[in-house]
Amino acid sequence: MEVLSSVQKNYRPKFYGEGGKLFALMVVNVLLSIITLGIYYPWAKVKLHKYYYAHTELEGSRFVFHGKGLEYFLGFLKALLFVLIFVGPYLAGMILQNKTLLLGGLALYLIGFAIFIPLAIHGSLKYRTSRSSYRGIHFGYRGDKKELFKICIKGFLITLISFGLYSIWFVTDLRTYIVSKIRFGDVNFSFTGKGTDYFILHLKGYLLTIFTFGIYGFWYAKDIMNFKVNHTYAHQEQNSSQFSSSLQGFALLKFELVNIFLLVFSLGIALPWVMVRSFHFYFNHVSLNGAVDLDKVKQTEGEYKDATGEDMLDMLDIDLM
Amino acid sequence: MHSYSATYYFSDSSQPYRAKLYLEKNRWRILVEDASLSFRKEIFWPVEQIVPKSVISEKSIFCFGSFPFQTIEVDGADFSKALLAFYPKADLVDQKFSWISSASTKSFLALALVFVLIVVGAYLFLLPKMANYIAGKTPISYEVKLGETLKENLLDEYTVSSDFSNALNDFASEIDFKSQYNIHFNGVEHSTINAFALPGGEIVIFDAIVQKMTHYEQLAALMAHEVAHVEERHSLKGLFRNIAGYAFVSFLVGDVNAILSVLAENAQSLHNLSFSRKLEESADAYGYEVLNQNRISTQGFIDLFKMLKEESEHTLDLSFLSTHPLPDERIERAHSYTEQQANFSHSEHLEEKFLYIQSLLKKSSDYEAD
Repeated sequence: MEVLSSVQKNYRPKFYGEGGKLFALMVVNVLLSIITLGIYYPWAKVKLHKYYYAHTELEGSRFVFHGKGLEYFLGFLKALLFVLIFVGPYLAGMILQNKTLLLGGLALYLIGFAIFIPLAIHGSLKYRTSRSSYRGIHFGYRGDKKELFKICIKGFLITLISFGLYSIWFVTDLRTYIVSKIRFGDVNFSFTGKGTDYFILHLKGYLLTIFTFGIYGFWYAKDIMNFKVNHTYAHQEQNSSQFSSSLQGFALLKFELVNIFLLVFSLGIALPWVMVRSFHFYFNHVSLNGAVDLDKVKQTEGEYKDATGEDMLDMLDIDLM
Repeated sequence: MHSYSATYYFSDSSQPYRAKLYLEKNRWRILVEDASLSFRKEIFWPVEQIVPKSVISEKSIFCFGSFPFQTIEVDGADFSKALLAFYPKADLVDQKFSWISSASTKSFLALALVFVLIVVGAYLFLLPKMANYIAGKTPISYEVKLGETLKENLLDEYTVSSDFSNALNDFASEIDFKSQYNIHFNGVEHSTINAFALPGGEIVIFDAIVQKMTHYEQLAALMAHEVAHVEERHSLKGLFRNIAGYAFVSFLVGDVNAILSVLAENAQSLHNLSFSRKLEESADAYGYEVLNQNRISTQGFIDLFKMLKEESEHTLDLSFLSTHPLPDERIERAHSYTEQQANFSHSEHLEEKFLYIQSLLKKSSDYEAD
């Protein structure tokens, strides 16, 4: 008798990038971005993504990033158009000192913002996942814009009424929804973290960080990361695996202190080396354990072309993961 | 024939298959084997249809066909070189960036050094030149407006004495400063030994510095020196340099962290100090010329410097001195200049006006003492 589901697999990613090579890449990126007055930026970003993906290995195979600079650039232009339409009248009102234009513009700005965030999250996820593959199997995001709008509008409103307290439940809801819509071939994912637990974690972390003059901040950050990772599962047919993070507060403290030391004494030049250290550090603490078998993933996702969301998030400086 | 060990993915599943890759003319021959060797399959990829996904030293990935792509991962550090040698015309290796995977650590350190040199060079040489150029192109009318705004904000913190100001301007009217600006002196009641010039012609002189003076040539020297700052647009240049410097430094380190920007800020102010020393020397040179042409003895500079030096030795307030460094060489230069000065005379007018200013200041300080 064959019992497939009883086979336990433990997967851990490994990073093979080198600080020196990453540095060379970054220098070229910065120089070209300066020379082209920033127009090169999307291409620079793609180069970096490709480097990170190509040097990340799981079970002997590397990841591939399929994105193109031109896609990012067009996405950026679309995002810019969106911003011009929704922010333009407000700015014009400010410059011309026109009250009607100012108030109307402000309303348009707020409406635009409420539309912008979910649209940006949706677009970015759809683009990024569709451009990522591993062993020829593509990732994908199957979220529905309307569903995301509902979650965001509800989240914005209650957060506003509750003076920001609800934001913890809001981001938990958002994560639950987003993670459930991510696909890697026929593998899907779930996030089981609860808003109330996350709130208690934040309350404890916040208070202890104040009482310990910031030192507890590392344990707080560790708790946040472990909460996010340890509540994430992967499912393949009837099999499941759990993501797990073994990050410790003291390890994080040591790691961050060395980073700060490196950055300060190199005047920032050590940044690529710090990036490489970070990959090593976090990959060392994360694993996927259970019955999900990376040798048996079936291809399911179709092709997708649009990079608008990606640059929108960039402009707003929102980090998804 | 040489083969490369590889892993093949058929695109319908993530099942890895061991494979051997042979480079042939215009095509790749890929021999795929099941892990249990239960099947063998020969696959051909025409070279012009191969899409390189990442070509790096340890493991290179290529795709083939339409979406979803078949994928091959090839092991081996020399694979990209072999591709270039075997298919020189095909676009299988991104040559623009292949140097990154083949270069040595030494060359990266060299690159790092070159990068640092370029950045430092741009900061030390290019940036000041640009700031000076922009300052030079700024219309005087704008400079005057800027100076007025600055004056309003600055003088808010001090008590301006109109009698003292009028007396200073009356004294200054006896001297031709050779300035294209409308020079205006503002007398301020303050115990700090200080004087400074704003862009556009507004000059602020604190009463403490005048009280310490013993003869009118010192005041004339101080005024000529400050007018030089206005005439040579030093404040404007300094302002632009500061803004440009901060923008540049924060562009470089801004995203990294706060500690770094504090360090960078201090580096910036240290650099400013050496910049201001140069400007002071330049303002002195202009000042000698003004005194010389007005037939006033440049001994005023020597005595002014000596007085400031003396003050700095028994006072803790260094606000003036921190921006007006007084190395001995500066005094020596004043000496050598004065030895060369042939044409000067004593001016009764200036003497009279100077004494009037001092009596004004004496009165007000007596009044305060009462």
